[in-house]
Amino acid sequence: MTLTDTNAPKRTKMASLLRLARKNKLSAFGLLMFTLIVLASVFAPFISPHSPLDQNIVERLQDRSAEFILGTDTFGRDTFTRILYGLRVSLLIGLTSTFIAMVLGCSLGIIAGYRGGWIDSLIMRVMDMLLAFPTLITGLFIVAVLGANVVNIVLAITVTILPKFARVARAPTISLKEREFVEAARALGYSDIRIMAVHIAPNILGEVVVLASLWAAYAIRVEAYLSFIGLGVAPPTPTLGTMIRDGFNHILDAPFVSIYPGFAVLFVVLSLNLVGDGLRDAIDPKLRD
Amino acid sequence: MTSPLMKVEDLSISFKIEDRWCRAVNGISFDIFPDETLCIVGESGCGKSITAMSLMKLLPDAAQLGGKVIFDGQDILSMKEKELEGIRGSRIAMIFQEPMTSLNPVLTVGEQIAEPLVLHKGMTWSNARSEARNLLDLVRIPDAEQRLGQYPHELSGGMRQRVMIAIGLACRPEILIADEPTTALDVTIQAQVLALLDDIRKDQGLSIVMITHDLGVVANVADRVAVMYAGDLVETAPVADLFTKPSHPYTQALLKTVPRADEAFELLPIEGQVPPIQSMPDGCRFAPRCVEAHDACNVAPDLSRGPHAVRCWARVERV
Amino acid sequence: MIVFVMIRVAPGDPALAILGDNASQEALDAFRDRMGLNDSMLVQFGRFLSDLAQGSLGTSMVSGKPVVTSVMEVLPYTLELALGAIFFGIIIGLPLGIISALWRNGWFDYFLRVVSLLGLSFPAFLTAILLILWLSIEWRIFPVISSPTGGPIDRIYNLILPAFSLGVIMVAYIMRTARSAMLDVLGEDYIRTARAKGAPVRRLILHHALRNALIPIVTVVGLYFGLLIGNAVLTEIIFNRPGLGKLIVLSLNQRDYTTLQGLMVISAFLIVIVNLLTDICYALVDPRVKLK
Repeated sequence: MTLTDTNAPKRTKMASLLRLARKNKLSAFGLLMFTLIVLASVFAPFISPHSPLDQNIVERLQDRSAEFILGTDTFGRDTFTRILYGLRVSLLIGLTSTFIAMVLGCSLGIIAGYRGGWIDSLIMRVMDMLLAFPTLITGLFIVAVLGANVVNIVLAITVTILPKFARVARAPTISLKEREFVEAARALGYSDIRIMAVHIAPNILGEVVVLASLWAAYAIRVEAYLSFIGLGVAPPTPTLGTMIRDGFNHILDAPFVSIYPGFAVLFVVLSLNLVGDGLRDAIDPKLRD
Repeated sequence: MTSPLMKVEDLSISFKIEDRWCRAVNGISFDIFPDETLCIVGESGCGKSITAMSLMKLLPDAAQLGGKVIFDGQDILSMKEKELEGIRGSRIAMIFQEPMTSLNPVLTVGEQIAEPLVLHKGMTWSNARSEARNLLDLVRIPDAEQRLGQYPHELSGGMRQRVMIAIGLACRPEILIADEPTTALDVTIQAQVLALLDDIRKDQGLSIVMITHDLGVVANVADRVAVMYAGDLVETAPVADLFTKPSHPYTQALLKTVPRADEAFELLPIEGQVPPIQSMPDGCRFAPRCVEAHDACNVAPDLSRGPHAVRCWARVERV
Repeated sequence: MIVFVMIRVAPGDPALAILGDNASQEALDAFRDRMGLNDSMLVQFGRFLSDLAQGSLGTSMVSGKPVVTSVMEVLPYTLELALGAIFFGIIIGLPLGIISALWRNGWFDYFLRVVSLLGLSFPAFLTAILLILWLSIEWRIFPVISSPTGGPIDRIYNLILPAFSLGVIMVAYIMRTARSAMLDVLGEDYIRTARAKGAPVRRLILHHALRNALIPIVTVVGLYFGLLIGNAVLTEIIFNRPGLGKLIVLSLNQRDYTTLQGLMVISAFLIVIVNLLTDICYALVDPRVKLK
């Protein structure tokens, strides 16, 4: 096996991953949907003429109209705009926490798998501890105790999904570290960190990406749940969960106030799930031989 | 001349690979006579396993079948699933290569043996269970009563294969198809299982169709042999004739690759490789590797008649 | 396992001391004194442990009632909701998953896969709200406010809608797992053997295949139980049912940390029990597994 071969697995796996993702229509659709949503929320001020905070009591609780695309809420604020801004919060929190959890979790998992021994036991024990609790309740508790602001919510969600990444990263690391290209790297005197980062990590990338999209969907949902319960980001910042909760009081006469934001959550989560699912199908039978 | 138990006429099996239909089995014909052991030999991938499965129409829907398999006056290949269910396991039975994965891990040995009896003979479960016990004795498994309640993972490989045989024999079939029954077993166990099969066959007068790639097994148990290459049936002969007077160039070359205990000589591998299924030659499929190949071989030859039949232009009497 | 749980939960307390309440400073001090929060961490933790050993989870900071009592009062409601959800999940998800595996790649399979993905993605409150709107208000089949009191029939009737709402997620997960498990099993050699024995199709599926496919399905139910409890919180809020969910929200609003703490312990405990039950189910279904 020549030296250059140690790079081969990394590059071809990424390329074939992208190729297969493109072939799978559902996941491509999900990706499209997600991109649209992200773009819409980022460019919210340009898309909608209204401000999310403008109250207009006269016009309150109206259904869809020309002026207010998705109607107005209890204070006469434009639902559509608020949804877009609320998506910002959801996406920000959801994606950040997933990203941090992914990076940290995978690093911990790889270190645990690679080093073995007491480091492995220690890390895994901590992970198991975290996993002992139902994820939603843990997140809830952390935010309740530490207070509800963006940082804490991100922290809470990160903590709950971190162990999942660690678990997933550890198993293949253990099998990978026995393979020849790792031994070759070690024989060349590469430092452990370099081996882990450059040689092992890219080979796990496929499964991790699948997991990341699925947990990102989950993270966004958790954010909505937390704000629904009242532990979300404080008003007046609009969040999807708070919108649903506010609309709940008027469920009988103006159900749409709750429903539209609810569907917004649904679409974001659905698009990410589609992507993750499609990627998982693409990876499983074909790349694993 | 007794009439055959089963006639296979022009059987062909095709699969769709990369959008093209490829013939894995290329129109083969042979007979199975009562009270004999017919061995179908060939390299891995020559189509012998799927031929065996097609005798019971056990192939997945993805396979396209052509030709006929005539059993008791009916063509198995055109029978409905319901009718086939009645034949499978009762009049024709099959045992497979891998005993570990071929037995259901969550059901007891006793239940799996009793099942065909309940399904086909209408026995009650308790009667079937006692019969299963007898069957375990028949296949020479000690402690039969205890074994009935055990699960497959609690038995050794050789015992599991005997259980498979017991299952196959439960309803006293007329034909037992054995797909490489000893390949996955240790050599010593192999000999035992083969001896067992042979004894049972002689006792009960059934016919065995044994698929194998091992010429040693052939020499041991076969009455007649059918040699397959790349989906073609190239030669059928009584076993003694096959070893002493091999006719087809492939058979001849094959025999030269088998080490013999009585003489020392050089092992001669066959030149070339089996062509991939998508690009099989039109005529005789062995022609590209055959030392006696000539122009006529671009057209597929017919199988000659008689007890020792060959499919080769080089052997046909020139008119 | 539980030891680690306790160590994990206790640190919630100093955070309380750091952040404080909305009450006035005097009230805070008096409160802290009474609750023993001014003692050192070690003492607090020690007290927690000794309480636990005696089977107590401390007293509620608000109502003064022992936490265990409050929790036990509402636990059955949540459990019945969770069980109802699992029930729906199995009844609907399992057959659909099997059918999906049999008609693999047919239009029905494709349709079901999309539907199950949708079911996964629906946030629990949306399902609940939509169901209430359609079934309770428009069609007037089920009552809007679900009250779990009254005789058993009444109770079950009130349970159906919220359990179904919660169960949508389980249906989706079970359906998918059932499908992939069945597909895996149907490709196994022993199914081929059973076919060669002449077993009719129905027996093949229900008897030979299903028992093997149950193994991963049991795993899934156990695995997602935590998710179920979490979502139960939301469902209870929307349907206005008493249960752990309501208690959690209540304690949150009132900053009743002892209760919260107790709830955390109970949740973890529940998960441990569920894992145990899952293991037992494994042993029942798969003869290769031995009970310890």
